[in-house]
Amino acid sequence: MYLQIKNISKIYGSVHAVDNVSLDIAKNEFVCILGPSGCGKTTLLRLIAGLEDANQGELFIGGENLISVPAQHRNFGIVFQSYSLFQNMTIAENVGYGLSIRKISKPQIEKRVDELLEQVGLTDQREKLPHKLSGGQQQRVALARALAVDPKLLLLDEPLSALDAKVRKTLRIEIREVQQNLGIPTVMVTHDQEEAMTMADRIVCMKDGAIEQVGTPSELYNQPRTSFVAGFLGSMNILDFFLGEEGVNTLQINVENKNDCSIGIRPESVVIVDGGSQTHPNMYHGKVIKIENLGSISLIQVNVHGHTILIERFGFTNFTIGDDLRVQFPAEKIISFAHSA
Amino acid sequence: MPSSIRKFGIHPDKLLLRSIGLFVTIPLLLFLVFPILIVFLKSFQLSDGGWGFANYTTTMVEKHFWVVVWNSLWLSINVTIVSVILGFGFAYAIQRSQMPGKRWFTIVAMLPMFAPSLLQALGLVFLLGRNGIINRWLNLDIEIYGFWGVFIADVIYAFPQAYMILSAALAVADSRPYEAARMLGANKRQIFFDVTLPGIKFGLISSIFLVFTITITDFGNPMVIGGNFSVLATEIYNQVSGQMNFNLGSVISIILLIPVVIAFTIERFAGRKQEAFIPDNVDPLVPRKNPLLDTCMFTYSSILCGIIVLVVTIVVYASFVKLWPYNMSFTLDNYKFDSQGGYDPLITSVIVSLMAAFIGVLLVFGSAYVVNKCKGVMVDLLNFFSILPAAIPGMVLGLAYIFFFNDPSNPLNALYGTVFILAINSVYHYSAQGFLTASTSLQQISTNFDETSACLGASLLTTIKRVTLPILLPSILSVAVFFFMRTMVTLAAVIFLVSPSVNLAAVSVMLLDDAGNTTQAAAYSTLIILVVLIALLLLNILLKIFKVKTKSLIS
Repeated sequence: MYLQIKNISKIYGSVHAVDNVSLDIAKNEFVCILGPSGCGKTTLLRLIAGLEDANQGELFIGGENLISVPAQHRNFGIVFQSYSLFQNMTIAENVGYGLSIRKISKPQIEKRVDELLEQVGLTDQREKLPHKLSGGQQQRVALARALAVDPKLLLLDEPLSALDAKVRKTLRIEIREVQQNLGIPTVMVTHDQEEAMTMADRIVCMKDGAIEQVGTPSELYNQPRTSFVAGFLGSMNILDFFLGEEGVNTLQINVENKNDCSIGIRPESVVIVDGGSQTHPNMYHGKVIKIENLGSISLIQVNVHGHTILIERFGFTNFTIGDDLRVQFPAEKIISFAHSA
Repeated sequence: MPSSIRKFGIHPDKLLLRSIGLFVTIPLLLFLVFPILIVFLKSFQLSDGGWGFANYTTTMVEKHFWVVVWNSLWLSINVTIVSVILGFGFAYAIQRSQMPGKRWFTIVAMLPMFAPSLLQALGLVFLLGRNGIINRWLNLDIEIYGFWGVFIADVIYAFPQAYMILSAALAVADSRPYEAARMLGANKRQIFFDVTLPGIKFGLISSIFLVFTITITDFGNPMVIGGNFSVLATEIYNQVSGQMNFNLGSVISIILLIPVVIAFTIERFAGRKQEAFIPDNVDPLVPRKNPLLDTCMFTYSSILCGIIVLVVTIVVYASFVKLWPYNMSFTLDNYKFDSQGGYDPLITSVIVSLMAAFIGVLLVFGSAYVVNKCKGVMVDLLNFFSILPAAIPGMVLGLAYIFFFNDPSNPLNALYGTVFILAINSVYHYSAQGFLTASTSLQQISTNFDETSACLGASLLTTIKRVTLPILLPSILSVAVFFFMRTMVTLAAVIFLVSPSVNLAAVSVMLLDDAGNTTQAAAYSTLIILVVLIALLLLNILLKIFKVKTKSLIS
């Protein structure tokens, strides 16, 4: 593995912001650290960057231990949420800043700056001051500035969170493209599961300073290891009570049901059984209690034996509140995961 | 990149921060902390060389002393109430009305800050004194010397400072709460009490305590127009300069410190809460046209500014008059300054002010940088002592310097009587405001800048040179001009430190006035205003050159 993080910890007083985390990242890989605010994801990024001193742990890149090397000498690129372009410098000067610190000759800097500005599509903004640019443009400049020094690792700290929804969507594709073209290992911190799912090769889901699960987006979504991961990436209907609650048909499941595990089903996997009086396995009666039409999909909340089940369907729904319906939980779609602490 | 740097002990960035810390802490101890401690000690030192509370007890049994204390408090409370109300009205007119001529009004309102505090008193004497225009022309017998004279002069002196704080408080307003209140059916009076006033609560508290502090510590106005009305600041001067009673002077200094420190503490406490969250996306409140309000505000502002213009103009006018009030024909003779060292004090003042500007900028930005970047007990102490001078009256600091530097056993004794001691005294007298400005500008620079720069391979020194300093430049210039301006007009602190060979312009004004050369005193005041205005003009030109818009201490 290209980047190896071994047992890294950061403690503030009695709070273990990052608690004994280990993680490997391959060359060319785009890794997203995902988690709610306060889970330690930003601290982990700052430890990697060298902006915080670790209380313990090691950080290897290509076999060299960088843990005691200050940020200044690590040669990593970083992009913050707040753009943080130097307001006193033009766009070109911002992008060339890292190179000028490395005492590269003027013409070479100019050439590299032109290259990068073309890559992010801002050649015509070259001589402007940062505040003349839109948020999306500023963030592109920040990306170009980080890439200018050929960093060994690119770090992105919620780079899209300050932008509005449309710009966010185009920029996440652009960042991913640039990363793929350059083949640069990248670690991005985000709290937005959609961002993580669309951009990352692998997602690291964090909670309370520790890693809950590491895997591809599909692994985390389809085989969440814990109820926290299951609930954080998308929604999950917990079906535990259908196992042996009095007066309710017992659910048939394919997965193993251990004592310390939960079972559940994604909203899009719940089937609404149409008409007829035919019975199906794992079929229950329910009553619609809430409907949200989002355009391309609709969300229907159904009360089943006193428990709320969320169902997702394509397009607008014809159901209205109070309708009786029958729902089915196909056994092959039911998944099992551990309780989170 | 070599990771070997760490092997040689301390990292260069940390070394740089520590050096800056040391560079600002040593002068802070030598020129502020130690001298102030000496004043405390001296107040307990008895004339026979022993120690005890006798200085306090002898002072406090005197009836005269309690009269002076009462005078100071009564005066300051009245001045505070009146100038904060006047200042609020004016700030409201500037920020919340659409009256014409706002730009001119704001410039005129600042005028009293560009001259020594005794300028107002001088102007009042020319207007309302025994030989003043009004008594002469109207054949009246108004007696201006005493409480009323000092009161009016101090109101004019304190008004701009109250206005500035309140104006800043009224300026940052989000229009949405006002619109929400209107939509909920609140009338103008309800909006004023429920939205406007709560919004500037902390500005109001700040201005009240600031005005109280500068009034109770003011020396120039009571000196010129106080007559028999004695206050604590003039009493210290009389004890020390008149009766050479240094220990009693320090007792009164300590007593003067009490109300000021209380005001300072409350203000700090309130100020801490002021740093509340102001959202980035403020939708600024734009005052709407309201002919009735605009007319009232215009009239009000015209009267206020008219009085200020009148007081300043009369001083300038008097400076060109042959023999006030008997021969009012034009002359330039007053500018010849046959006594008090001629133009030397003015030149010395400019030199001292330039030094103060230079030293002041280095020290306050150095301290602010360290306080911003580091943590720990030492840093908290540095922060505390950087703000402390706001609570130390000029008279007390001046007295402290005599005690500390005029002591032959002090190795720094050689500094006594030099321009350097005057400059550094002025720096520490006004360093709190400079420090707070520097601190605010530094806080506005996101830490992400430093971090980005570090990740791109820059050392702290490179980051300071290439990122921090260029961003700070406008506020550095403003703070420099602030120190220059204050040093040009300061009187209280330096009055004890000047000598016939090293004299300052503001002191000259007082001495000329004391000697009865009122028109020459007027001429000297006029020159001081001129120098300060030139400095401000230069600042504005420089800021224009750097094409930056900035909120500063002064404009």
